[in-house]
Amino acid sequence: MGIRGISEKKGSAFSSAGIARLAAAVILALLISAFCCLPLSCRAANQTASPAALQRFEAFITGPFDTAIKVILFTAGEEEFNAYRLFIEEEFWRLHRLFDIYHDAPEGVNLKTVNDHAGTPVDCPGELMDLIEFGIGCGGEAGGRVNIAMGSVLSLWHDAREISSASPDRAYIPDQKSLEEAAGHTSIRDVVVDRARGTVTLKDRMMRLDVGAIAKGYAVEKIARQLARRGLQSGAIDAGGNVRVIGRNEGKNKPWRIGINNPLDNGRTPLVEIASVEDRAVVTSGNDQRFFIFEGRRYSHIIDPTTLQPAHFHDSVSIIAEDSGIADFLTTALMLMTEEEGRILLGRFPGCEALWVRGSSVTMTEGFRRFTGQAGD
Amino acid sequence: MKDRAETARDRRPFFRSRDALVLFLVLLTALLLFLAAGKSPSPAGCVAKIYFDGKLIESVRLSQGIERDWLFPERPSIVIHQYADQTIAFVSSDCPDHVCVRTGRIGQPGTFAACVPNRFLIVIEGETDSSEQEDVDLVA
Repeated sequence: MGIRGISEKKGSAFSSAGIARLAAAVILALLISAFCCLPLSCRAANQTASPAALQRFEAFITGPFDTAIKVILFTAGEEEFNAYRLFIEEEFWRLHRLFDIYHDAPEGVNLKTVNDHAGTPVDCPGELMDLIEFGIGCGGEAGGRVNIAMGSVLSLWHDAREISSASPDRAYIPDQKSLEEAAGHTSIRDVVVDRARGTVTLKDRMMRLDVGAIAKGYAVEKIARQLARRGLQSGAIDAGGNVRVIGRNEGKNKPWRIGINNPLDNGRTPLVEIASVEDRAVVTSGNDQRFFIFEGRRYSHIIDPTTLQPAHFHDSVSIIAEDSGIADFLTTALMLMTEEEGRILLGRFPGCEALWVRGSSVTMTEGFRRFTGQAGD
Repeated sequence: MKDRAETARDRRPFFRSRDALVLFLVLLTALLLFLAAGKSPSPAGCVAKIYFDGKLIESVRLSQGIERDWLFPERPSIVIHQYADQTIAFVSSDCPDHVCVRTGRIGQPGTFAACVPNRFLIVIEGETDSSEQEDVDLVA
């Protein structure tokens, strides 16, 4: 019976009726397959339609703001990309020279000029006055935790970091007495911006400005806005942990995915989170790259104006904001306060969200969590 | 006889279990082909491109199990180490802040590390279209 059954089945499969049914099944299956795949194929075609019009290009610019800058742009072709890339490179270098406190600028007055002429009014380009006023405003918002007039203190730590990193056997930290003497010349009220005369005056001759906490993010924002004004629809700039995206990722037809660096990376978990953003800045400040070791202890480059000592509250802070300059300022400010204080400060900056890393602990605001695609608590 | 046979054939259901199986297999094949066509090829390995002063001076294939140092006459103080786990890193430099060394190991397509004072740059690229392989576009 079993053998007959097999025989019967064979017979039915290869009989003309069986072939007809099989053919019908195959045709039906192919039709269904084609029907099922059609909407997906259309969607795929739509996804590639945009990149067909806009091609992805990337470039690196090494040097401005002492960092390597990665630029990803979607443009109509290589010629357009090269025009944008040249503009971005020239702008980064121009702003770098304008905000430089270590070298004179061939264009004329820069921040070093203002420092060198402390005590007397200096005719300043409008862009430099803009940055200084932005810095004064940031300090006011952060209750003085970020102070662009703290250059005299920061230079002591800067020298210690450079010597200690280059020659660990000569490592040292600045003594507290020197720091306190320098801190006597850091009153932000002594920075006078006179728009009518076009001058900046450091009333204290011993004062030095240092815009390291804000300048890079400010420059990135300025350039990103100019790119958008010039018609760029999709692009991203990564200036050493200071990311600013324009539009969405045209190549993938979805928001840009920005990884949040793990400051305690052991090679296995380089990221603590991934945020999906459009037209936003994502900026991280941390203790993992710019630091030095003295007597077994790690000293961060972020200095607290109240204690004159390095930041110690967090390993890193990341901010998502519409403005890269604001984000850069907030990362520094939040590194210098507890998470609770940071959340209060964030309340004054609508749309700005934060993520804190302390050891194995990662905490974030609800708004930041939404950018990671996770449901709220 | 012929009439009876045709009648018996007519009585059979047009769509039987064997036909359903064929339909299922064809649909499954179509689905698998569709998914395979839509998926990017998995990265077989990455290449670390090393630039000095904007010029490509070395391409290092990050192969599993290969571990070695890379030295360069352009900057004798720079030592780049290729690790067996398909990552690469600056391990020595005479630059003032050592940010390059502290960047640590990189290995994912799209990531990069730089020694700005020495004008050295390492960029990780996938073997095929790098941007398609990247889980993240940039890192902050």
